[in-house]
Amino acid sequence: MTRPTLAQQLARQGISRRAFLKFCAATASMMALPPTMAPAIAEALGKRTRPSIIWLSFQECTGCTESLTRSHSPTVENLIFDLISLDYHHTLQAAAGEAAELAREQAMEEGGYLVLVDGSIPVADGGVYSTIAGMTNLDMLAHTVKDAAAVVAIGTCAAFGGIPKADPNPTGAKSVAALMADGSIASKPLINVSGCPPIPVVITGVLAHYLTFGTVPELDDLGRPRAYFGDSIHDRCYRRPFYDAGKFAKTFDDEGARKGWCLYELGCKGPTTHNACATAKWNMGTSFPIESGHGCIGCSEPDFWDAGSFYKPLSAATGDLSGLAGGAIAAGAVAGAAAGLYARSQKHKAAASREKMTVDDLKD
Amino acid sequence: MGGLSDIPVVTAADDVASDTAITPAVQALLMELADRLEVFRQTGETHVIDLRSLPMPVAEHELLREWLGVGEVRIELDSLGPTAIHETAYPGIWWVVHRNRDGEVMTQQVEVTACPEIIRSQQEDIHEGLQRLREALPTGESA
Amino acid sequence: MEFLNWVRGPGLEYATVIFLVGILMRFLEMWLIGRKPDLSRPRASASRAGWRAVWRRSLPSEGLMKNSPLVMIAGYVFHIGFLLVLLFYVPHIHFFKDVLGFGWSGLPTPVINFLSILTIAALVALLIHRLIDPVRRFLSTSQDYIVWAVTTLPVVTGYMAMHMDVMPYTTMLALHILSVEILMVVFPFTKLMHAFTFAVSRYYNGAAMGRKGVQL
Ligand code: SF4
Ligand code: SF4
Repeated sequence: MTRPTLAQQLARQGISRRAFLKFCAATASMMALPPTMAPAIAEALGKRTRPSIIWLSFQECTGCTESLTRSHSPTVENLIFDLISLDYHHTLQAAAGEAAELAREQAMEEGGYLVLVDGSIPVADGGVYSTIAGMTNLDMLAHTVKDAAAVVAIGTCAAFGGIPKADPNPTGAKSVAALMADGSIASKPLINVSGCPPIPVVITGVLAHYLTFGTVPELDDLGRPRAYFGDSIHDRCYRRPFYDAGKFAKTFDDEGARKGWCLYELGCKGPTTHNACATAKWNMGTSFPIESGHGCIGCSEPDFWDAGSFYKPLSAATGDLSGLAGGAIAAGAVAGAAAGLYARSQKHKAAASREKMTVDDLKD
Repeated sequence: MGGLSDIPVVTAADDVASDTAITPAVQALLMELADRLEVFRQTGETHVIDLRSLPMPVAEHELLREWLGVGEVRIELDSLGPTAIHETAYPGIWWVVHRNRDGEVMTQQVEVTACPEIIRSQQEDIHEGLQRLREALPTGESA
Repeated sequence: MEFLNWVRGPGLEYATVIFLVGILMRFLEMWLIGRKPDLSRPRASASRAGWRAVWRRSLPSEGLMKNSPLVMIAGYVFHIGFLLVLLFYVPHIHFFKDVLGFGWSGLPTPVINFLSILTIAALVALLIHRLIDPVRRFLSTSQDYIVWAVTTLPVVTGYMAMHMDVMPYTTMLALHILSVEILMVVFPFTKLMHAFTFAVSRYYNGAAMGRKGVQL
């Protein structure tokens, strides 16, 4: 059976070419491509067939799915989901139990499907900490990824381990990338869409890119699409002029905070965080956290839960150095006393074997 | 602890004196548009700015829109939800807002062109429309 | 990011412990070695001469200023610049505030920027001079070069981190903190210790001389 191309499918749904162009303009914007790319998108989309998608949820909080389904331009997302065939999603599918697992097996038969993963994968104690239909997460992932065309790790948990991997990581949680690296699952092209949760428009944008061009977008060194994660929050922050001018809010309700000054001193992690919040925004494009007066907490970066307090400035130590210093001073005193006494005895010995005072004695 | 009323509240609008309201971002965009309009006049090269791709608060989109004003043409499309297009007070600069069926903004663009492409009838649609027209025509026999 | 987390967390903790333990060890060691009591009658006040020496020797000496002005000026520029940048760059103050529990106000970023460039220039000039001048070159040991490198790296990496466009800020910040940690670890066991001992040793020399009635 030959699948219809997307253009045919849309035409069948009674969607005009003009409406399709509008959709492409929205898609270009979503993919963070320049608007001039819309015709190219239209052309590429017209030729593609509907890819099959399997969405696996592991150690996660469903925040990523919530984020996606609450995304702010439902028509675009709905269209995307009309255009892809979401064959398996624990939370969204109507089927349950064996029927659901059957759907996954069926989708896999054709091969060439896209696997979306949210949540990290626990591997400690044989993976018992999370199982679905009697299968450990690791087994299910390994099985599903084997014939996949590509894998998209949705959310910081799947991309980098996220909160389950936070110190002390009792379940031995791992990211998809880590499992590919250590050979527990097959290595496939991998796109990390990090964020806790990821920005909905970024999730759909990445899917739209794959759908449109059939390729993995250009990635950064952490496997994230450059189109969204190329700049840091700080690079694109509208408060940046205040940072450059050295105007910082000192508390969340002081004069500076009210004037919208930079939140660096209140712990903003924008300079070390790469994400699209500053442009893509949240809540139907309303704003993003910094616009609401709270610093960035670095949710799209690896191990951000272990990066110290959200409210400590980036230049501060993550641990409790002053507590440590007390211990160090005590240890130093003991060690110093020992070293000193030793040196002293050496000196006495030396003095016993010579008469005159030398220049050496005057040193220090 | 006092009540909520004890907390001094200053709204953002109070800080921006309305007469001098131009922000650096809006100023930069206006300059870009002027340059682009000049290029279009001389070479016919069109240009589109996607407002979502710019790091500025949504309030500044409004500011830019006010600065550009409203010109002679206003067009409504009904295509996958409403699209509102108007020519700004500066001919050749168009303001395009695509909404979805729920009325939420999908994209907001400023175009430098003589007529936004999306307004034109598309070949595919003309072709399909022609067929429908022919089918709808009463045939000669029955007349 | 993992690297940054390490240098901001455990890395910094190790460095702090080594730094503090090292310094205390050195001080206690010096103190415990002790001095034989000087039984001679003092000819003048030892303590006055001691304090005087601490102060006088912080000022440029005329002779040196004439003989090698570059070393003198670059030396002062880099010491003062280094200290100002260390103590008055706002993010640094936040670091100290977090550890010490109190902070102070800082210098504007452009000033820090300028000071950093001056400091780096002075450090480079001093290195070149050390390499070119035959006498200084002869006197230099590998420790001198190591000490130069561990002092210069934090300033250079810090400057690069401030100018975020050169390299990704996350990497630069991590490298900057790492370079500081190296400095902290090396500090107690090299000549860098002079940052703490200079006053003590000047006082000691001054006091010893003063006691003997030498005019300083
Ligand atoms: S608020 Fe945060 S992201 Fe924005 S300029 Fe300040 S430090 Fe950078
Ligand atoms: S501002 Fe920072 S912490 Fe907040 S959502 Fe964006 S990347 Fe995550």
